[in-house]
Amino acid sequence: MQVDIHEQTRLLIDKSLGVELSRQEQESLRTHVLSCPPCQQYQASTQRVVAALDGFRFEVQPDLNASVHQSMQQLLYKMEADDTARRSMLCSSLSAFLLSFLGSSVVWQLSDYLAAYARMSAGELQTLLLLVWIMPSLLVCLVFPFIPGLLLYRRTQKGWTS
Amino acid sequence: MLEHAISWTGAVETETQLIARGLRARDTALLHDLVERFQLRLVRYLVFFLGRRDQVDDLVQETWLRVVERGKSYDGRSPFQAWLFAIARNLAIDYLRRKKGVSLDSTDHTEKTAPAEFLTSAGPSPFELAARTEDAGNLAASLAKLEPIYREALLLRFQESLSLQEISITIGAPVPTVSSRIHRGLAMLRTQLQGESRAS
Repeated sequence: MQVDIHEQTRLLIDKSLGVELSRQEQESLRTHVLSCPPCQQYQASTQRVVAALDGFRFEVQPDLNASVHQSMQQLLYKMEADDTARRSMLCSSLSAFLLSFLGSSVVWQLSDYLAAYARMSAGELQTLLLLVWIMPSLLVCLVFPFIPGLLLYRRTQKGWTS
Repeated sequence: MLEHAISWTGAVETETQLIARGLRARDTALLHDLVERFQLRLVRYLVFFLGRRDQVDDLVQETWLRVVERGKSYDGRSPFQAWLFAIARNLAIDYLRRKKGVSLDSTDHTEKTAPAEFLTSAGPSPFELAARTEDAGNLAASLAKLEPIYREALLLRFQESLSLQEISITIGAPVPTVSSRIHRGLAMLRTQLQGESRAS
């Protein structure tokens, strides 16, 4: 189907608003518009609308920037505090894990002496140590990094944060 | 100030890369600079999108807080303005959903949105208040009635001078859709302006 020359020109006018036309397209547009009053009018009215769109002037409320800066600063402080808490929890967790590991190793090494002192077999004492010292210590160490998240969740649930 | 800079690695960083790095580092000075530079454009974008002025300041605040919170996700590959407007757009859509249950989902390319009057407030529209030329005054009422997606496309193209590709990133729609929205929006406004000319 052959596209009407006026239709084609208007498509080119519309296209020129979004992308740069090729040299050939520019030439074809210029040649036709010069000799066609309706297409001239179409181009002029399009340019008028585009120019009119530039005739709106909006203003920023005078205190908006200051209020945005303030809110951003507060949020930055809060995020910094959260990061510090997270880092400190991670360090505590690592320290606790290390101490648990070292303490447990020492006690484990001394289990023969301790078993004799407590009148138990070394195996019994080791089982006891495993259940009441080593396992709980390791579990607590693993929970440490999740404490800030749990606290935040609790605060959110209670509506402490928006 | 942010045009280009030499980073500690010795490589020349573009403005968007500098912004991305500053956002990752939560650089307060950079954030303040961005607010000063983009505030008016952000306000204008939200007014064009919502067709009203009353909720714009709250959304502007929220947008900047999101920028701080999600700064790490900006990679500096697209213009900062497109990323900023995309955040503002999502917040505006959430606001409209909360208020009216309006569907303006950016993934919905069927061009169906809520009637524009659904979104406007009583009294003179922000466009009437902001019109500074006779033709702008003539267009103001039509702009207020135009659907947000068309107003948005026209603003981004002709006031913000974004390319079709950049608009596509901002609104999350393919380039042909962007192009079609611009042409439809212009056609509606052209008809209005021609009508005004004949009437006068």
